[in-house]
Amino acid sequence: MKKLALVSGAIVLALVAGFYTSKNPDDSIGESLQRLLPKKKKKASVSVKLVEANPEVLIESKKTVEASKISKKVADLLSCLQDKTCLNKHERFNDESLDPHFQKLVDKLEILEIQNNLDQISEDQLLKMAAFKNPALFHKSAALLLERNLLSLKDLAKIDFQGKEVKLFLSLYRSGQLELNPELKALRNERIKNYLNQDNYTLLTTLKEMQNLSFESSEAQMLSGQACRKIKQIDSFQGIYRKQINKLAQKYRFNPDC
Amino acid sequence: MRLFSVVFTVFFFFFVFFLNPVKQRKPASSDSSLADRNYRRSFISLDDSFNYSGLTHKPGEDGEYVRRLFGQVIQKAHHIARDYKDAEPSLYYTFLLASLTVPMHESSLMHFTRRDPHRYCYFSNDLLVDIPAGIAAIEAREESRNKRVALSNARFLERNIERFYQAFNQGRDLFMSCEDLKQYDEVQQILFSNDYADIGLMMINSTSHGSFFRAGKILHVDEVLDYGLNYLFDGFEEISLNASNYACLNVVQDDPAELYKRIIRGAWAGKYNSGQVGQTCRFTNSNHRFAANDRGFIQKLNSIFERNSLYHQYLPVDSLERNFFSELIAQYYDPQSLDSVLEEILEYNYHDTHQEVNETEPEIEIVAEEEEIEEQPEASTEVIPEIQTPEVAEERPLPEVMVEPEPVQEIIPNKEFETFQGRFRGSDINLRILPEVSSESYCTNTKYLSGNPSFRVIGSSGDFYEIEPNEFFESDDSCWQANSLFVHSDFVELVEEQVTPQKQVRLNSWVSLRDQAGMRSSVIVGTQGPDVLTIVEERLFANEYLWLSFIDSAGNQVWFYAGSTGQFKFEELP
Repeated sequence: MKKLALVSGAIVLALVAGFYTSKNPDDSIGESLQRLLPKKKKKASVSVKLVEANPEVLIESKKTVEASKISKKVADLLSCLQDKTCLNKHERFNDESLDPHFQKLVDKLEILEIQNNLDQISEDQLLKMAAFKNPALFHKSAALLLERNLLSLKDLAKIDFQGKEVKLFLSLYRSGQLELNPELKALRNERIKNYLNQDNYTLLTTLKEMQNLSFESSEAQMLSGQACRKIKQIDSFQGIYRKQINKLAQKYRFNPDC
Repeated sequence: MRLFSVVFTVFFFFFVFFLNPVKQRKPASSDSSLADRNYRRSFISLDDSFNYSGLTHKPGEDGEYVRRLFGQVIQKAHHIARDYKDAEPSLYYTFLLASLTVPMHESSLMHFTRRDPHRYCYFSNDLLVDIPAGIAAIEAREESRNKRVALSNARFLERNIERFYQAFNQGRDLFMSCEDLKQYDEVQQILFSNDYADIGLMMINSTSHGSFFRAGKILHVDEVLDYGLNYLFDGFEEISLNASNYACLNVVQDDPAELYKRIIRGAWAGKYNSGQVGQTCRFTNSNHRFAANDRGFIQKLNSIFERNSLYHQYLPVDSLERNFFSELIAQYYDPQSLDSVLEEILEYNYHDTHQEVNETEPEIEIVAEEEEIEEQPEASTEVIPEIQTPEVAEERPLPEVMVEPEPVQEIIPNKEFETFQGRFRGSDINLRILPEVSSESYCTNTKYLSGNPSFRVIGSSGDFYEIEPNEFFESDDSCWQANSLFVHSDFVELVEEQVTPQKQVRLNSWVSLRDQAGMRSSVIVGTQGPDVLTIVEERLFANEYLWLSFIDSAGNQVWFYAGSTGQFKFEELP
């Protein structure tokens, strides 16, 4: 009896000591002991195929939402963006081109588009939207402007594009259809000359975007020649500009002489 | 007494062993992993309802994870800066170095990890299911430092998760509690910043980069790397070319590396961390409000030069990536012999394994026009404060254990050969006269091609496909005169013989182009004027709203809204 008591006591004491020296501090005794039981295995499914995003559709369904309300909202957003009162401000990070209000404007335009109520928005408003140079808003408003009046391209050309922004304007010419209009073609070339004469970064982004456009060989050679004269004045990293010139030269078969 | 001692000793060790299943018979290194360099509460656990994909860390596999991440970063950085490789190699390799430094600094190389929720689901998920109740529970605790820290963290979560919900645009009932997640052996976890405002490998801010979150791309590692590195490059390129505009980049060239180090620092401090290139020289002002950010960054950059960065700790010592990294550090500003090793890294498939992908059935959700039409615009003058996150007192940091480099496993994808029509996947792809990666086998590169022609794949040899150049490969280069060329199989995709019937349409209108069908989760990427287009895919929503897709001049599939039934913006051509 005495031995039995000793052995039992030793086991109990060992259990308690073992528990307190080894357990996860957050676990109770029950949880610790539960871990001794075999766990249900859940198979994780793994494959290496990328997943497509869920498509969603935005449709107009609330016919009671009047187009005039939406267009008023557009006007108010436009106004507060122009005077910068509604731009989100962060103490450290401030990239205005990413402000979420631009996307809100895009959303409103698309609602009106689906409702076939785009006549609520004037050309002047669309031009002001394009002038923010936010990529999504620019492409949306430019498409709507050009749909109404192709010659509004001239007004878009007046926007002061710099650096990567020049891609916004020049990309409108990518399909190669606008060049069929001599006036618009001349406008494009005039803008390119202007961009090539700006700072080094604008020069390079213009040369890069020119790779996506269609030129006659003489045009390409003329514009490349202007770029070459500018490049000779740059004292560092000339190689990257020459690379773009050489690509044009290869495509349009002229001697770059740069 | 002797009997008592013997029985006690035997059963003591027995119970110690069995009551610690987590620790039993596992090497010490598996107790601590790369993920533990971030707080447990910074990881939010995802259940199976999320769509996610990409490289995922797992405890005990740190070396292989870092190796694959390293390779993916190099490949993506190369793709972005490839024009500089031959033209300005110093800038090119400097950008590769910058691309490796930024995610190491931002997130300690962490985006997704997959871990046991019993141990690693902590604080955040529980709070997310009912934030007010969670905060109330913390407030009800006895006053202590732990309570103050927990409350502070809870307030950060309360504020910034709301911004995440708005940007992500998938509702608010997204996350499960830790208790519910414990039904799983392991869960996918994604890293948030300590204040929950920034997310993932590149710490992309949910408020500032709304369109990226709206498209759901934050849950796909490839997209995160593409977006973050492109954003970094925007600033990098601009300040490199316009260096004379930035006083901190006008350095005397007695230290040839100094200019390039400053470009890295400036690109991060300016465009990446401040959103403006105008802040490029912020790192030179030790009194600047955010000087601490710049000090943190230079510490990480210096750890690379001092050979004790995370890459040095985790990249296997005998790996190709480790060798390249060592050479890159030594030569980035004046590269002499980096190209050959880089070539192998660029051609390696780092995506074959360690990819966690979760697919869910796509839901066609008809969303009524639920945008609240506010009477007044948001005249928000809210200034979002920079949060200095305090220590997390309650959470015990797990011990740091140096992980031994793991042996490299060369995983060669097995592909069955079959003749098919193919197309190049990606850009800047080397074409070879032999099925091997070597300077002797190099023939030419797809960058000299115009467009993305298709070709016949006529054979295979190891990892390489043998292709038949055809009349689309116009070039005077004698390389194209060869009967066949070899290209690594990872850069060839099948052109489906049976595709959704392609049709030609004449678009009659100017439209904006998107990267996906539908409006809510896609991003506008361009504009298209009236033209004849070859449609490769179409989608009709709600039996009324038609979206069409074509391949643009850059080889990307783009979509546009083609109108509603009866009011289409195109006519079909015979």
